[in-house]
Amino acid sequence: MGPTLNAILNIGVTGIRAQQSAIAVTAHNIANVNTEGYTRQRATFAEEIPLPTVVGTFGMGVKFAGIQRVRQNMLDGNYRAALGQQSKYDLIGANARALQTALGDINGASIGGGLTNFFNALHDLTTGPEDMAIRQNVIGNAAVLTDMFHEAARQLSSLSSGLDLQANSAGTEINSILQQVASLNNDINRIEALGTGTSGDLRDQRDVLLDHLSAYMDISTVEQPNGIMDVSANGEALVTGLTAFSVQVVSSGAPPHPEIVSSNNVALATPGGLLSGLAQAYQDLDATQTSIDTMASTLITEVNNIHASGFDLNGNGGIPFFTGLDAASIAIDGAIKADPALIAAASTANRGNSDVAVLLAQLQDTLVDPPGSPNATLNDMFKNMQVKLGSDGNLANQLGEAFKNSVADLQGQRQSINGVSTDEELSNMISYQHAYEAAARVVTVVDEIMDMIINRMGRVGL
Amino acid sequence: MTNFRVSDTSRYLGLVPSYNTILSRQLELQRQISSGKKFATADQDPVGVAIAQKLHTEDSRAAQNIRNSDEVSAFSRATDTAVRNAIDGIQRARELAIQANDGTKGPTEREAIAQEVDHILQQMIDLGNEKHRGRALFSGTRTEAASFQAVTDAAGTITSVTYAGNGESFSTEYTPGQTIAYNMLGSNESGGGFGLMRDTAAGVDVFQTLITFRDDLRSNPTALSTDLQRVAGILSHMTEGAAKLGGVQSQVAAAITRHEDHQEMLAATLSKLEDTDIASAITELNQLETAYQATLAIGARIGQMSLLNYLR
Repeated sequence: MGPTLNAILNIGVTGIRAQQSAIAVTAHNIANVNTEGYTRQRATFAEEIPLPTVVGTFGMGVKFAGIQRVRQNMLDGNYRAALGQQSKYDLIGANARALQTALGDINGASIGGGLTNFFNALHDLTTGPEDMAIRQNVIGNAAVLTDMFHEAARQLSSLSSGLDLQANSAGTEINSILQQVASLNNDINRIEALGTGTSGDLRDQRDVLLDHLSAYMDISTVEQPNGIMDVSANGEALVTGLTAFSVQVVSSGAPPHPEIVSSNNVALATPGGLLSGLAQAYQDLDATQTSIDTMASTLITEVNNIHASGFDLNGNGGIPFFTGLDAASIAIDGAIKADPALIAAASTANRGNSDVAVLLAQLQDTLVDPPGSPNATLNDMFKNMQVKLGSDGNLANQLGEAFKNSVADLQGQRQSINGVSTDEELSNMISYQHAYEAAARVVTVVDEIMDMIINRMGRVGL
Repeated sequence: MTNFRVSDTSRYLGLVPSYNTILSRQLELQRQISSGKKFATADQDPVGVAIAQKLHTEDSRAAQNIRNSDEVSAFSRATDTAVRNAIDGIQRARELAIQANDGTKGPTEREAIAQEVDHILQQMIDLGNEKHRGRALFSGTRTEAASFQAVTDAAGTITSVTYAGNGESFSTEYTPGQTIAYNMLGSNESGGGFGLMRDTAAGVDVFQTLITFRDDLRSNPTALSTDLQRVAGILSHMTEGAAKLGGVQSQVAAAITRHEDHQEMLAATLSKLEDTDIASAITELNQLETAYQATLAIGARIGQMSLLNYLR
């Protein structure tokens, strides 16, 4: 004897149920076609336990075997490393660009240009030391130059607080991600312990979070057999099991900035990612700040030394031309600013003497930096600063571009495996739909057979 | 090429970066064309920008040296004009000295000559006090002072002339690292080099010579031959002064020419370094335009066709 009609009816029902579940999976895939980090899922089927009979072993229909998450994790490490490098160099490049802007336009107004104009004004003073208009012009150009120093100092300090802000928000974001990863670990562990397979959607969320985290810092991850993901950086635990540790991003106080301190109070030496980019950006900013301050203080000292050896238009000895110590504080002496006659252009008490003005103008060519064994003029100091930032920025841009390409490439490769294809899903859907229809037809046929048996059999003569 | 699986996201994945690549390049070319400069920041070509900056400094320096040299030249020409006028006056004084020495002049005629000599004396003082841009030509660096002041007796006759200037020279840079002293002293009695009106080294004193000549015409005719010699001596001294000024002028004129040549060379080099090649930039912009349209068209077609088009 083969299977009963009821058993056959049941086979049809297993088909209907399995295809319905598969259509649900397809619908979920289609709905998530644009969800970041979504990994496509695949419905899997298996035969039901067969029914052995004397005439043979009959299949008893289909069962829905589960939902498979189509993902290869081998690309994750490379993708995350490239993402970290990209955000590092993008930040360094953007910072170098902002620093260049702080120094002024290479084709227009800059500290270098201001310096040249100041020296030119001093040159004019050599041919007309008695001329108040020319003296006023010296003051005017010196004022433009000091303003440019001030503007550069202001922009640098604003960049510095911008970096502080970025470092602090990076810290907040990292800690929030760590919290979420730990909480997802908990959820995944709880759901998967039921034994109904992997929890694709929660794992997707966790993978996206780890992608985000890797833009901030280099991480290593270890997945435990129970589905829990442990995260660490520089050997310091960030997430262990269901516990998230917090890092502290210290952006104020003495360099190095920013310092990343783990919950065990260990400073992470090379955090990588955006955090390493921030560290480099702070260094570049500090170096530029130092250079520009050195340049301003050198200008102040050199000009004042020469100026003090001269005599003003009234025959009095020269007072310091510039006051201040650095780029932020450099200023023209108030008395000189109010009365340009106090510019000491002469080496004697004679009005027409311009020897000191010549010396001041020739400061343009004097090697003044570094002290002791000078090999650069004031203009060279500025140019060197510009070129250093330029080549730093150039390098960072190239590396940023290269890593951007590998991120895109790896993203493409990941998508090729993980991503949803609507054509594919629609084909599957058609196939499931037809299978559903066919299974339903089986039910109808059994129904008709039963109808035949119940209502028409054994009714001879009625 | 192996076939690989294409997901919906993959189809759009490369699209946005392509738009961005094209648009950012377009923006950069537009900047290059509108500003006329290849580079906006040093990171676009660190070395090129460094060279360009150095050349710009040199260019500005050359321009300033030309400006300084122009001023030296102007001051020197003003001095030269004064010196040539003085030479004309002294030439007239020499003619008068020759006339006075011809042995035919009586006291009346000598008085007439003496009066003309007195005018020449006054003219010399005036020339000695000339200014350029408010600076006394012959006062050394005491440029505010009238160089020479006449001392007169009760009758208003000039008896001596004092020098109010000093022995210092003007100084300005006419070529990088080189300065030039370009003023001529009226007198070197308080130090300094060549003195035009009074030169202690050459034993020349224009005013005293003219005063003595005038006085000799009036009261001591026997000394007139000595006066003639002295006047002739002044003439050669002043001619020497004019030659010196000529020297200064040709020195700065040569420097100006040199700086102008240098600037021309700098302009050509800088243009090559910095200026946008407009023709190639516009060509590239057109190519990008085509590429952009093609990319947009592709973007618009992605997803136009799918299985959905064939499903009921």
